[in-house]
Amino acid sequence: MPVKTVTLNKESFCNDLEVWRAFKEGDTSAYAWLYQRYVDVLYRYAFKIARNPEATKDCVQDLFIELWKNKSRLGDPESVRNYLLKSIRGKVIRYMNRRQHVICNDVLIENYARNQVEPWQSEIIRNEEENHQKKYLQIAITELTSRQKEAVFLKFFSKLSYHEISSVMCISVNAVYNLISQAMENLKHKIDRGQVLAILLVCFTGYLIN
Amino acid sequence: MDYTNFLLKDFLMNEYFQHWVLEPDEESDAFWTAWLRNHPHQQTVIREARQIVMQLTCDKHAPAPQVYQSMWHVIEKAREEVDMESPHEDPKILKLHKNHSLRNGKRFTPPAVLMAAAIVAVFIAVSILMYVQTGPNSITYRTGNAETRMVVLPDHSTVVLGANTALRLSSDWGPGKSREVWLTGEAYFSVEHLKNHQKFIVHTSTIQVEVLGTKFNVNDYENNTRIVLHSGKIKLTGIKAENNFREIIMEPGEMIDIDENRRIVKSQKVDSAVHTSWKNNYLIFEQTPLRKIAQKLEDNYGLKVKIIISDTSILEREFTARYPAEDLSVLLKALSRSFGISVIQEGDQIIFKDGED
Repeated sequence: MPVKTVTLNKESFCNDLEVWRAFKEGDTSAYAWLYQRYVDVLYRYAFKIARNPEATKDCVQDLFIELWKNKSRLGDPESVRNYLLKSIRGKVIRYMNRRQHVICNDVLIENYARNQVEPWQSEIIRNEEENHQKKYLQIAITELTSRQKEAVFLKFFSKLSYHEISSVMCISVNAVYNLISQAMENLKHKIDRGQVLAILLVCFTGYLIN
Repeated sequence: MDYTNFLLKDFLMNEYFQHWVLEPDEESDAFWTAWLRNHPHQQTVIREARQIVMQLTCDKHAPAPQVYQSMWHVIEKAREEVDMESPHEDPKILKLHKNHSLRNGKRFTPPAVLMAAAIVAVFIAVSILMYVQTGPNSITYRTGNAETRMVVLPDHSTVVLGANTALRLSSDWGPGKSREVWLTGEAYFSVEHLKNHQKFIVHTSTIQVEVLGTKFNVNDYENNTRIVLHSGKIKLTGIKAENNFREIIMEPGEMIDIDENRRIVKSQKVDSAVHTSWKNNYLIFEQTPLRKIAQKLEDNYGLKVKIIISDTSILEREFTARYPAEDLSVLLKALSRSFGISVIQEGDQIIFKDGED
């Protein structure tokens, strides 16, 4: 296999765009680099929407395969990462719409996600105030709506700006503000409630609340 | 923006606050610590907001690394099928290869597909045939004169490359393996600590630097290596001491010079910011003798400095200043004024001469 070389633009800050262009030209190593770089964030984001590991895997795989098939027709996005996030989002939503039974089982899936959090009842009594908040917070996050989870993920995990999130989720910047705002309200509400619960738990030591 | 009456939620939503918690830098840190001092009544709220933001950056739904590997197998298989149906024209790629000068140009050789041997063993024989690689492929990042570039490595570590620098990655970055790079030139590393304690090793022309989540500077020009540790902890190996090799653990604020025989030439405490300022594209000199400045000009800009001064004691005189790296002429004028000599650039030479400009 001949060594493929690409001369890079001196102005480049992060070399994503050069790799993207090399991939479009059919460079398989650049393609592999893109996968390495983005599969994690794409998987995690897709999971927020699909809430199911099989569906998530299928969608991410499909996305990369389609990228390769259509590489010569692709443009140069301002941000490769945001372009990929937006693409996976559309893909997951179409995937789920095709499989109606997944949507109908919303409740089951939410429970599945919730059960991923470790049982906390007995530990809380022994832990400090901060750990109280952490556990409650993690649980509270799983109870957010799907769209709120998406927005929170993009904002705090991927560190996208409000503007970028509006582009990825195809909603207005105001809608993004509202989503995050609602999410923060819900979290605050659950934390406060959780703190009250913690006090009760401490008072009734040894009595586990289900 | 007036944060005085901000509630918890307002801080959580504010991008500048988020930036300070998630990606703090000197500027935002200075701002917020000062603001907190002047508004102590908000300290509790801000502490709570910080905790929440930190928690929100966690994401519990991480699959095992093997999941990504097995997904890649599926993708590669499909890609091979796509290519077989419509073979893409190789001449397009070869043309790119021919048009670009390989000597002075900045080269990018893409990484190989990362396949852990263990995974290959698990899959059936047909899969193995499809993933045979023909020889090592490695990725090399290069910079030219007066150029700094930030590079993100596959493990999300970042490296800022200085001028005339080459950084080569080993071809097998993957789960369970060491992360190794080879450096000539200068680079500032910000290394991600990985959960499996996977090592990160920088090979220089003299020694190896082994790290575990930290920020440090490596300067390796002309087979002399200088390491400055900003934060965290690193271990230097391969240092010569009498008849055997030894290791040294460095603490933040320490600077160590190694010569081409791998011996320690100097070890002292420094202000690491001075030695790593270049990554913000400034050259900072703090009581730096002219002789050293000449060396810096050579290293940073790839120019030859010619000194024709009758009074060589001038070379030991010190200079303290800060200049943007992009505009060399400004620095040269300042040197001329400060030292009372003529400092002129002619082509790829800088000449220090008697008399003023």
